Amino acid sequence: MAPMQMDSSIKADAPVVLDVHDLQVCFPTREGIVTALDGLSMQVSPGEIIGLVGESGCGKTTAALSFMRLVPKPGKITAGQILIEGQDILKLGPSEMRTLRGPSVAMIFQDALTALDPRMPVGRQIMEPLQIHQHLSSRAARARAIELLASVGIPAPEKRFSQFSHEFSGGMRQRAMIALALSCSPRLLLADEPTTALDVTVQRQIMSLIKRMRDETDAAIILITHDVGVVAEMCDQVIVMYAGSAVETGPTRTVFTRPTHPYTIGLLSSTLELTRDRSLPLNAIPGLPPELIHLPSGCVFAPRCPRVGDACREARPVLEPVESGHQVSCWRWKEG
Amino acid sequence: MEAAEINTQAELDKDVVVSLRGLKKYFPGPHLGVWPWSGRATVRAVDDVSFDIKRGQTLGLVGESGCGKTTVGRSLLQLVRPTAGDVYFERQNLCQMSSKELYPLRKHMQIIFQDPFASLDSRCTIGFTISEGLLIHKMVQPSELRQRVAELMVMVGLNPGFENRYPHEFSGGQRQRVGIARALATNPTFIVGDEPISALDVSIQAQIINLLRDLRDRLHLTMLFISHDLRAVRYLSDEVAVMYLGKIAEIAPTDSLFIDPLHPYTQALLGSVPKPRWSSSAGMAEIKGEVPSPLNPPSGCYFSTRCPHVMPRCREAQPALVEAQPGHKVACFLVSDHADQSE
Amino acid sequence: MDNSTLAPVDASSMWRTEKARSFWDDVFYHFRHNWMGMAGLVVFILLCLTAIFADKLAPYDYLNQDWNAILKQPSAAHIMGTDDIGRDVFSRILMGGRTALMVASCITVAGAIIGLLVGSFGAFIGGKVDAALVWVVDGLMSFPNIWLAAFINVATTPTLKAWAASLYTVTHWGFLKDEVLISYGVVVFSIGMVNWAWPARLVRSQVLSLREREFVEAVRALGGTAWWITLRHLIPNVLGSMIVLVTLSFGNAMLFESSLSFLGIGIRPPGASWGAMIFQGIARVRTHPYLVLAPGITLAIVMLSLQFLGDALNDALNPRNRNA
Repeated sequence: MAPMQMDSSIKADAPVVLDVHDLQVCFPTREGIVTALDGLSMQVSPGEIIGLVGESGCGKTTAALSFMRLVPKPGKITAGQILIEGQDILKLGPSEMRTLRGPSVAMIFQDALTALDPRMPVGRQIMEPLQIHQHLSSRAARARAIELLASVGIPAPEKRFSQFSHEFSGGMRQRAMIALALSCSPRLLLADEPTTALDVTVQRQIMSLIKRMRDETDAAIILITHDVGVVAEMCDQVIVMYAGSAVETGPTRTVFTRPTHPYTIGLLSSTLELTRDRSLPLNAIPGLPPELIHLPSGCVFAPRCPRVGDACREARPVLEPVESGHQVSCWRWKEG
Repeated sequence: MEAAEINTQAELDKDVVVSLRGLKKYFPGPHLGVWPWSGRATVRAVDDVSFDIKRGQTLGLVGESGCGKTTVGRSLLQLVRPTAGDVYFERQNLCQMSSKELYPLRKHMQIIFQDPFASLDSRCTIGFTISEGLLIHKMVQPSELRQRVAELMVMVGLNPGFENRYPHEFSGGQRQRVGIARALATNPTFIVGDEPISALDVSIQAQIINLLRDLRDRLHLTMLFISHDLRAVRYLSDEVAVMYLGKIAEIAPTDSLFIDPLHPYTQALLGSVPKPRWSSSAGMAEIKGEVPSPLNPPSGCYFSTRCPHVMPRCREAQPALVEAQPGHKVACFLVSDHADQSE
Repeated sequence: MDNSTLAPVDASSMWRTEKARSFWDDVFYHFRHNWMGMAGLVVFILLCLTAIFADKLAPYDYLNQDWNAILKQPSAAHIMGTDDIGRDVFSRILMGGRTALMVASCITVAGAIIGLLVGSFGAFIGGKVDAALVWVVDGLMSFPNIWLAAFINVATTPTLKAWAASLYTVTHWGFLKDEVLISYGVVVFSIGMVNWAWPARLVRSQVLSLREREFVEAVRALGGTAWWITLRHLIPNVLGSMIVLVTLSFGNAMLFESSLSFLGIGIRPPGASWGAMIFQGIARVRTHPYLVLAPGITLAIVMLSLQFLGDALNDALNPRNRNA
């Protein structure tokens, strides 16, 4: 499969931080095997923000967890290759993988309240990866943790250091989690719906913070979200996912201004834009997201697709280039 | 000085279905001290809210966490009894009615909840759930019950053959349709939608918004649509009220609010909506800080701690809701001073 | 016009096509796959069958005293031996099963019903009524059960006997004169008076949490009265844990009755009760251990199987925040 072209603003010869080929993740359940992710490929360069956008069940969170090899049992990575900074992480043993988590790849979760340990002071939690991975003394780790809290915009960091997560407001908890994730300066940062549980004004603050962190550390960021608007604002590249497969990929502006896959078109036209004429009904995509147990043979979007044809029901389409860097997985994309 | 309008029942317009006057709901907060007699802090969830909703109109209520919008919805329907203030429904004062007197009125005012799973009893079939209102109020003969349930299910886009299934067999969007069917069963005049689409996938949100719009138009419903999402509110509402920490900051017809937001908080909310990086209006400044705790609201105007245009006056007194433009009311000294000057 | 939301939709394209599966179907499925629970269920069914057919299965009449076969060790004629007045131990074990089942059933049902009513009533009403009931329940639970039951048993036996006698003079129902039956009644009464506290507590805590659930609020918004909500929504939702409660409580009641009989207070001889048999056999445990082992092991097996059954039901009924 042809690698995605990088955005021209990224240095052309920079080594790729994450390189994924044909990743497949399956969950055996008592009703059958659920293929949560079916053949995902992507590359992320330093300083690039890639958006994985899709609705519930599309596989975006599974993808992020598999990059850290944290897919919950009974799920397994059944095929594909994941290279982080050139290293094949699927061949690593558990302890080697543990050394990677933190310094190489870190994750920001959606709900900071449940992701942080409620019984440990927040500062101590930030100290932990510093002590484990960078072998700092507790004094040095403490000082660095306070520095990190300040850098993410938490006022009075010395005081906040010894407070517990429930004493933080929602936005501050999220900032603390970002500080925790960034503590060992990871090359790859996975942000799983980092703004969804937050108030709208706080969302904006966190988005600015993530961008600032990217500017300062040059980390590669994978942003997972269902909010198309957030992707449009933050991401250089976007991968639109549906039922475990990537249906359209490319630079954000290209994909969103010239969408080719019927799902992308439907998704974009059903979003609640402020600029759209509010007297017209929304162009909702009919039907329901499919159940991963009963995926149709052929294109997964066929049951809901306005352009469906016979070819669509028989074989699953593959990613084809539309223009430079822009790929789509559809048999009938040309008939736009 | 509050610009409260005291209406007696006789003065209430027949065309106004719901009228709130000075609604207050305070909750007891954490204890102030170790001893029982130290008293408790008060959470002023709703602090003097007034508005009218005319027949056939939809009022959108927006705000962030802690602004009290959900409590307004619950207090309006008397699911939570207000601490003070009056709620008039079809010119009857609900706050002065006992629970017993309220029972028969409930068929005229219904609510759609946010969480499509928690709001349905997982042990009941959806057929029973939808028909429950009809059963409670004995509105339909038993022989006609199934027919009515089937009609309702078709109206919300559900296959009527599924009436014997249980909630866990449906997706979130379908369960929300069940909730909508349940709310419509008793032919209410007024419906409160408490964040009805927030828990749904994006493409399903669009379906449900279309459904709600269509039902509202066909059945001539009056609605209160509560949401934290300004974009959703814009699609369903004729008028929008923005709340902050229990008070109304701005209330105006939808187009007027979105084209010309006057309150700095409303401007901040609109500015916080993500915009594509290639669009010209990208890069709006963020506002600092977070919503203060309702236990400890700032003195003076509640938004003064975060407002980019704060003046010394704002920290001393609370601005009243003043009509700055026809139909467009704002609670802000900046705007009311300006309006005064231009007179 | 946008057809997607308003027209009756095509079943095959949108809806789940598997057949409808109710909550209870799911419960049975999980239960079937739990071998320990199934084993417990099998033993319990065995117990019920032997109890019902005890008099037909028993080789000898459990009351029959064969003076030629006193204190015989287990043999072909008496597979569990005989006791000190010549009664066949095996037959008495079978009849003891019947006693255990009957007594435990009455106690459990009575305790469950009282507990359900008191618990749900108090929890839903709340306020002072609830506080008073909690006080009563806690008070009851702070007494050692057996002590209290024994006390009630001993204290009320003469009174109940007197009532039975006077009732007999009016109605002439034969069973009122049967001492053994009266002792059964006293046991049920005394344990029942003590046993309802724990179910009440459990039901109360369940109803308290249910009361706050959104679907309860939804029914209130529809205009449902407290009574409607309790009957249609609270009790069905509590039934799940009630089933587990009843199962475990059954074993508890059995043990309770055995304990009282062991103390000499419960089922009076010649009634057959495993606890009473242990009581009678303890003095000779060194020479004739079978007198104690037979009822003891039987009781232990039945208790264990009830535990397994209860645990399996618990696992099957509490799943979970499935599909949320």
